[in-house]
Amino acid sequence: LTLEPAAGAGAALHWSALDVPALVAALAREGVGEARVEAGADGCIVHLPRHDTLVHVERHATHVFCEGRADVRQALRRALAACLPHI
Amino acid sequence: LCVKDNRLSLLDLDEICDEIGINRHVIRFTSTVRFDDPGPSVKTAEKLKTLLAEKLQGWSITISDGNISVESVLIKVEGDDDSTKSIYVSWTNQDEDLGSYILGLLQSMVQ
Repeated sequence: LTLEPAAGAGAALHWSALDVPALVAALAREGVGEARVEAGADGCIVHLPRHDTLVHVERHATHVFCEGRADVRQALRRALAACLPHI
Repeated sequence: LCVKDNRLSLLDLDEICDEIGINRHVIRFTSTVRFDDPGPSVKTAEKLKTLLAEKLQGWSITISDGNISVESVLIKVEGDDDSTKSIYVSWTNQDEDLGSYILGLLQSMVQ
């Protein structure tokens, strides 16, 4: 199996800041619950212990550290897309 | 592709955001794969690059200081010479297909 370079563009372009309470609600709707939010110096960290995942949220960037489960990652992508303006 | 100063221009995502005056929000994913491969981490990285070059024909794959790059996908190998290596695979949301493919490839390699 090989992967060919795609001819078209990739996923959506997101902008603005992330609404963290909206993200937690969107994650719960996706079945990714029990989120704990901790404030930090430059943003916050959303901890999802049941899924071994940390979401580091800054004003213009979100970095997801997860253990590679595709279903959890896709749920996170849908939740993030629901909380950020995008085209 | 956009019209700028009456000329067609090809812009990357950051340039588009500058042009239309919005602050891009970059989403990045990072996952870790453990790989039992004794020896220097640079050697492990070279093996991975060879594997990726075989599987990703037509893609530009670069390696620098043991860090491999394919588009926005970054692959970093860490670990002592005589221990299991941690392979960090990181990619932006725009490169989900490529990033998840590479992660899956590395996960299947270590099983």
